[in-house]
Amino acid sequence: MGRLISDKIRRGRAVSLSVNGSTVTAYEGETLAAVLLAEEVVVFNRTASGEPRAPYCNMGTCFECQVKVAEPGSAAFRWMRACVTPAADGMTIRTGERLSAPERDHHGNGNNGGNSGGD
Amino acid sequence: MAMVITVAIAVATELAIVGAGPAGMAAAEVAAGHGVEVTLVDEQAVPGGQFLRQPPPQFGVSDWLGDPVYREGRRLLERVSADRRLEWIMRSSVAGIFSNGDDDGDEPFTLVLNPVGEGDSGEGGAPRQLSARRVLIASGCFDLPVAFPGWTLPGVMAAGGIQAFVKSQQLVPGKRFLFAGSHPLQLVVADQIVQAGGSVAGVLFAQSSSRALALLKHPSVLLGNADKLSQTAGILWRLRRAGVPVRFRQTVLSANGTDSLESVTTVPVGPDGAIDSDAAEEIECDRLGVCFAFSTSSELARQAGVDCRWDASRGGWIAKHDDNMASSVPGVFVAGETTGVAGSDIAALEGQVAAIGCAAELGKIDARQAVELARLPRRQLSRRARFARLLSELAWPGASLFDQLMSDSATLCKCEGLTVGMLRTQLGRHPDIRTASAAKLLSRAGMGLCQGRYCHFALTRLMARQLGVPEERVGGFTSRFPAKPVSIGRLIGDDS
Ligand SMILES: Cc1cc2nc3c(=O)[nH]c(=O)nc-3n(C[C@H](O)[C@H](O)[C@H](O)COP(=O)(O)OP(=O)(O)OC[C@H]3O[C@@H](n4cnc5c(N)ncnc54)[C@H](O)[C@@H]3O)c2cc1C
Ligand code: FES
Repeated sequence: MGRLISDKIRRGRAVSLSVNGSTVTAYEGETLAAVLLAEEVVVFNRTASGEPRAPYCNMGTCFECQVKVAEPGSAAFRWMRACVTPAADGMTIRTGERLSAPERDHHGNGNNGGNSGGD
Repeated sequence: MAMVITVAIAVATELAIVGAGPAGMAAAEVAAGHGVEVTLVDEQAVPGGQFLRQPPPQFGVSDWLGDPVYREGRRLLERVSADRRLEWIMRSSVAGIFSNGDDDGDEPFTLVLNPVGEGDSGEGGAPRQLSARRVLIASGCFDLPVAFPGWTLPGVMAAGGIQAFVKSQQLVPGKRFLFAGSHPLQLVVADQIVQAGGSVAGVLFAQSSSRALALLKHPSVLLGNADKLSQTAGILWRLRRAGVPVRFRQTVLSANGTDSLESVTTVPVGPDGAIDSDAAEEIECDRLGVCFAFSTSSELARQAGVDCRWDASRGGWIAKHDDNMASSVPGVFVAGETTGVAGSDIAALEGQVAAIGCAAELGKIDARQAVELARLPRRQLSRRARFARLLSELAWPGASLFDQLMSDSATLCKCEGLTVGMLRTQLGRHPDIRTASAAKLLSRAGMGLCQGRYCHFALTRLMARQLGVPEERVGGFTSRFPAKPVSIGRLIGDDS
């Protein structure tokens, strides 16, 4: 659902990523959120109960844009916020994956960064 | 942006500035000018804050933010980016600010920094420490999330987030846009979309046209130092030429679609502020920009122990301060939207005043010099701040509008999957629950990854109304360390 602006712009070096099994060309400096929207990805992840979710704030605060990402050369997928993660050559991305049920306290105040882990 | 580096070790500084937006950058420049050793920390990759969201360093955009509104901000950004006296720690979130106890120590504060993005949403790498003699919190604000049925559906976004795709990623994120809100920013974003070749189905203001137009006569105050009328006039003219309807007394009732936004149901807002669901209309679009107001990023200030008060139209919890922008915690200063949402101009002026206060406390200038130096920015501030307050009120649709949009089926806490109706039922069963913190324990609202940023306003409002008490009494969620998510493994350094 997105279109890249091409007027008066020079993007970064072209890089190649895998999105849900297809090869996608992106440009260095683009965030994964921009790459995925330009690729017409609609559902970035699903909540534990199956509700579809996609970027809301585009500034790193809402966590709605999480997708599963494996770094170049790695097979370990981790949840990352697409709006603050720059595209890198060789990344593998999976969208529409289900988040685990909200995790219980790690350290007393209910805040955790542990909605993560491997696959 | 040659000066942007990432430091990998524990470091010490005289003044740590959290947030490199207009407030933090202006403070850095003034403080460094008086010989203060400054380190700026920001979770973004490049400085500028929200007002000056830059394209990534790899992009070449020939007329980035070419509009005169951004001229002064861009100059400030260019100056601080080239300023060799400043230290930068980018892509690092400040998770907590701790006082080391004895104020006479060399570095009474320790900041825990959490590197962003190399890993999962709990960030990557081990946390780092920065010790500092003084701290300035200039952490800005984010778009106020408004709970209505469908607000979490893919396609619904904060208008500021849409703008950031255009401004910084050079992407038009949708085919057909609709904007609904009450803040003048939505006109600016609609215009940016039209100029980038996108299609806009309409811009809906909840206020009456007279109220909105009074506001739009002075967009410069809330939206940066644009030169008077020219900006709004230009925007309205361009929107009109593009056939974009700007409507008043209209708002969003629900966002509809199965897996993504297909249409938005809109309703008229009567002169008494009541929405008329019988007169609902449906507008097809694949992107809705929501733009009512902003919410301060006050978690860090509250975690640090800074006294805040509730002011809904200025961002919710806003940090209290004195004439020098010193907070209630000795040695901790506050500036910018953290002290009440008022736009980039005022943010920068507050940053200057705070820097002078810090320089004086650090003994770089004497008290008399400090008063002298602060005179001009203070005078500009008091004039503009009064005006900004007036305009914030005009931009505020009134809490009762949000109460009406918050119907039982609307999601309240998106992280924990809690609806407005579920919370109402739980509160009805537990009349003893009277504070936001207690409601959090009861319902889990605010316990997810966003740490309550996206439900605290709706929850506070809902409770205040249900209990018949002012929001101050409901209180905020207790803001404790870490102010941003970090996993326990990383804190103890055994994360692999
Ligand atoms: C999405 C959005 C779009 C906006 N667009 C406009 C516009 O077009 N025109 C306009 O006049 N105003 C706009 N505003 C209002 C804007 O807040 C002000 O104009 C101005 O940017 C405020 O300056 P500031 O320095 O107070 O905060 P900001 O510019 O928001 O800067 C705060 C900085 O602090 C950083 N930060 C916050 N918390 C932490 C932490 N814990 N650790 C590390 N870093 C942290 C953030 O990354 C950010 O860079 C927008 C606001 C938002 C949220
Ligand atoms: S869109 Fe909100 S965190 Fe990415």
